[in-house]
Parts: sequence; structure tokens; C-alpha cells
Amino acid sequence: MPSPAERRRLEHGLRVAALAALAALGARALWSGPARARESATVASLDSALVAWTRRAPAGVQVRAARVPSRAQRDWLLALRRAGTAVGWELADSLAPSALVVEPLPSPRAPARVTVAAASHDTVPISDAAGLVDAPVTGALGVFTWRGSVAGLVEAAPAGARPASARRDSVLLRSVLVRGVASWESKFVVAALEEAGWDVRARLTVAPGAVVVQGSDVALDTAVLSAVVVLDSASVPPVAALRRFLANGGGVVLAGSAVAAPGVASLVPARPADRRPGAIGALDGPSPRTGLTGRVFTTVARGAVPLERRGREPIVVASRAGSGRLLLVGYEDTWRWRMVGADDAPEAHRAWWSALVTGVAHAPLMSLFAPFVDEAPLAAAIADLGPPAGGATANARASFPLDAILFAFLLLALLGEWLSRRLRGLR
Amino acid sequence: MSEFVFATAQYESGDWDSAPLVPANIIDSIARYTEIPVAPTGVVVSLSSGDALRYPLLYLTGHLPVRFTEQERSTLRRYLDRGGLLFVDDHNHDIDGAFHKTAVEELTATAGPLVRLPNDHALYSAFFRFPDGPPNTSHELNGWGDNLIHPYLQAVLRGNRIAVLYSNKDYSSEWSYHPENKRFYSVDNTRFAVNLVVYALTR
Repeated sequence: MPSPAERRRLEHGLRVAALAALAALGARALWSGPARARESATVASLDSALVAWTRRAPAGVQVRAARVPSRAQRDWLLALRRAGTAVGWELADSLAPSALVVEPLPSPRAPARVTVAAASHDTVPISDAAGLVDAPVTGALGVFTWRGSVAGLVEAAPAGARPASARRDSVLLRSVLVRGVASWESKFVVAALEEAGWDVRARLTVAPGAVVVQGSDVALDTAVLSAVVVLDSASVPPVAALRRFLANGGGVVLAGSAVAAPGVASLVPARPADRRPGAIGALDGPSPRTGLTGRVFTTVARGAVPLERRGREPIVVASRAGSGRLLLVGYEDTWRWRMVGADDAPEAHRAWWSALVTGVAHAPLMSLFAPFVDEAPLAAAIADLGPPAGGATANARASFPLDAILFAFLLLALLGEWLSRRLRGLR
Repeated sequence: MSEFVFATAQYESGDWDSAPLVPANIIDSIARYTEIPVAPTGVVVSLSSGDALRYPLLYLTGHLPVRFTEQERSTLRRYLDRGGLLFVDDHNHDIDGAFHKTAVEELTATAGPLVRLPNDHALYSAFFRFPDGPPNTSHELNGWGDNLIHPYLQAVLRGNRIAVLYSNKDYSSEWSYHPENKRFYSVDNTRFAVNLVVYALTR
């Protein structure tokens, strides 16, 4: 037990410490300027609140959001934080992350691919500068891909966010050359590609010395052509020219008997087998190409990719060659699908042929002016402001709570001094 | 690659088979002048049947009034929408005749209005060159029928492509003879048929 003299010294010390803490708190109150308040706003009133907060510089701000703040709002909040205001935000409900990407496609009628990621089975309206484009429903994985033409900024509107993006590049499409003999296949492949928006040049042999030329007769050159489609073995250009075209990034589609032309044996990445008849009555069924006669491929080279199969055997094979791409299409007389198929057959035939050419076309990119984009708002908001929480967390961690510690110390010192006096029997 | 098959359209009204030697003569010319694989015999295909869609060039002729059935109209619309080409020739070569009046009425209602085909159209240079447009027939020059020389053909166009080609020139009479008899002509009068087939196969 301490003696009464020791107790008095302890009490004296505690009184001095309490007075010192009180003096420190007073000094902090005098020299730290007027007290800064903590303020809050919703996203709906955030724009006007940001202006006010910029003028008043409150100690902390809290954004209560039913949706993710826009990129401009987030940038403004970041600026406030860097100016010393603690910034926090909270979401009313848990939101599924969403994102939107716009990519250029080498396709005349569908020069852009828009990919939207949102919650599963969510209806996501997509709009561009010209208005509403589509309102697709995302699949089980929460992803939807749309192909078409878009103007300016593309925005999606899933629940709680508004991701926006735009094409950063444009593709430079050139002509497609179709080589073949005068036949229904040549006619309808040219028609399908023209209807799909391609600028088609054709070189169709009718008789020795008699060639029907559509457009001007051109050499295989990526300065003029994006792709060449060869429809029969008699129309295959010299393999050296094909190699040069591929090496420069050109696209080549070999279809029908062209895949088995002797001249291209050293070029093609798969060995064509015998022709297989199509299934009777399948042309107007759900898998119309199974009704076409076709040549399947065996011994596909490493690096080549079978894109379609008949049974287990590849019938459409793609590969890289040089800087370009080579596509082998085993189907013959695809015009029968267009003429005899179901109601959607002409459109399906057109889209299929256009997609084949899109897959190989030489399409150099040209940079476009990229507007203000916000491709993944929730992810960007978390990266900028931290995860949504109930308080102004970011700056709160940064500022040391000295006032609270001093006040607690003051209370403890006074309490200790009072207890000591009571234990000595004094008041 | 499938071979070219010459197809004659059979329709329920009229005399669709009034020129039975035309197919063999045209097939002979295709084989004679071009490398196009061609079936040695033609086929007759009902215009009311979906089989018509297997032959993207159809030849239709007759003397009598043409009244398509609803099924024939439906098949013809589908055929033309998908890229088929219908060649119609007035076997009467008579613009006041029953075939002409009714066929034009039916074609206009089914396919759209017939317009004058310019005589420098690609059809006239698809293989042989016809700088003055469609070649005249001996029946026109002899003053038979309407006693007129028709200076142009008519067509229903889809984009820049001929969907229906209509002739008052009576090629059905001009080309209806045995192919062996071509040797008696100084100039083969079926050359324009070759242009028609080559155009159909390439445009």
C-alpha cells in the first residue's frame, strides 16, 4: 500500500496530466481552425453536393448510392479526397458488376461487336448516339454479344450502373475477290456477299478465253483485296501468289473442289477426303448444312482449328498462314441451302458466308477519337474509392484520432485522481 | 459442283409445253460454246411445286391466257426472292394477244412491274455481244403476230439483277428446232440463249 505522501504525489501528478491534456485539447481547438463537419448525399443529388463540398471542404463526405456514381462524379470525389476530405460511399443494395466493351469487326454491315456483362438473365438496354439499339437478355453466364453498326458512345443500362464505351478503332475493309466458274454456286456466293455489304469483285470462267469479270480484274494484293474466295479447283490462282497474299495478311477461303486442287496441297493444313453426300431432307431442317454434299478433312495439321464437323470429321478448318488466315470449306453447292432451305435460309446463307469472309479478311485498323468511356463502373469505383462501406473509411484511416486519445487520457487522469482521494477518505 | 439443268416451268393454265424443242437446242448451244457442265436433257418442273427452287433459271412460255394458282404465285414469289430468274417468252409474239396481256398482269401482281431493259444491259454482253440489244427473230421480220419488231425486252429488277425477263419476240418459235439443223444457219440464232444462261449463272 502506498503511503499517504505517495498518494498525494500521485494525485498531484494526475491533476497535472489532466490539466496538460486539457491544455492540449484547447490548443488544438484554437489552432486547428473551425471544426469541419461530415456531410452526405445521394447519387441523385451528388452533382450539386460536389459543388457545395468543393466550396466548403468538409472533413468527410459520404455518398449513399442506389447506383454506381458516374465516372465524372468519381473523379470529382477523388479530387476531394486528395484535397483532404475523407470520402466514403455505400450502396443501397448489392449490385452485380457490369461491363461493356465495343470492338471493331471486319464486316461491312456489322462493323462493331458489343459485349455486355451483367447479372444473369438480366434485360440490358443498349443505346448509342442515335438511340436504342437493342434490349438483349443476358444468358446464364451474364454475357451477351451483339453485332451491328453503332454510332458514337455506346451505353448499357443494367441495374445500378451505366457502363459506356465506344469503338477505339475502325477497320479498313477492301474488296473480296470471288474466283470460280460460271455456276449457281458462284452466282449465289457473290450474291450473298454483296447482300451482306461486301464490295465483291468476281472472276468467273465460262469458256476458254471467256471470263465474266465483275469489277476490274485485280492481282492478289492486300492493297486492293481483303480476301479471296476460290470456289473450284480450276480457278485456284498460282500457289506462289496465294502464299504472298497470305504472308501480307490477306485472307483466303478455299471452298468446294478448290480444297482438293493439286496446286494447293502444300498450302492447306488438312488433307481432303472423299466427298460425302448430304442428309436427305436436311436442307430445310434445323441443321441445313448437313444436307449439303461435302468433303471432310483428315489429318488436320497442328495449329489448324476445325470450325465445323460432319459427324466426327472436320468439314470447315481454319489456320494461320503467314500474317494471314486460310479457311478450308468442304461444303459444295451451298446455293441449294439458300434456294431450297427454310424461310430464313437466304439470310442464314448470307450471314454464314459473310462470317467466313469476316473470319479471314485483312482489315488494318485505324484509330478513332475515343470519347469519355466508363466500361466497368463498379470495378472502377472500387478501384478509385475503395469498396463501398458504411463510413468515410478511406480518409478516416489516414487521420490519427489524437483528440479522442487526449480526451480519454484526460478522463482517466481525473478518474484516477478522484479514486485515490476517495481511498484516502477525502471527498 | 452441280451441272446446269435447263428447266421448263409447268403451270396449270395455258399451254406451257408449246415449244418442246427449245430445251434441247439451248442445251446443245451451252455445250457447244462454253465449258459449263450441263445436263444432257432438260426437266419440266411444276411452278406449284417446291422443286422449282432447285432450278434457279426457269423458262416459261405459251400461247394461251396465263392464270397462276395461288400456290404458283406463292412459289414464284419465294423463287424470285431467293435469287431465281424466270425467263418468260410470249409464243404469240403479239402484244394484243391473250398470253401477253394475262402474263404481264400475273407477273406484275406477283413479282412487280416490268420495266424496259436497256439495250446496253450486261445481259447483252454476258458471252456473245449484242450491241443493238435483243436479236430479232425471223417471226418478227416476217411480220407475223403483231407485225412489230420489238426493240427491247422487259424485266422485273431486284437491285441491279434481273429477276424476271420478259420477251415478246417469240424466241420460243425461233429456237424450237432440232439442234442438228443449226448447220443450216449462217449465224446460230440460239446465241442469245447462251447469254441468258451465262448471265443467270454469273449475276
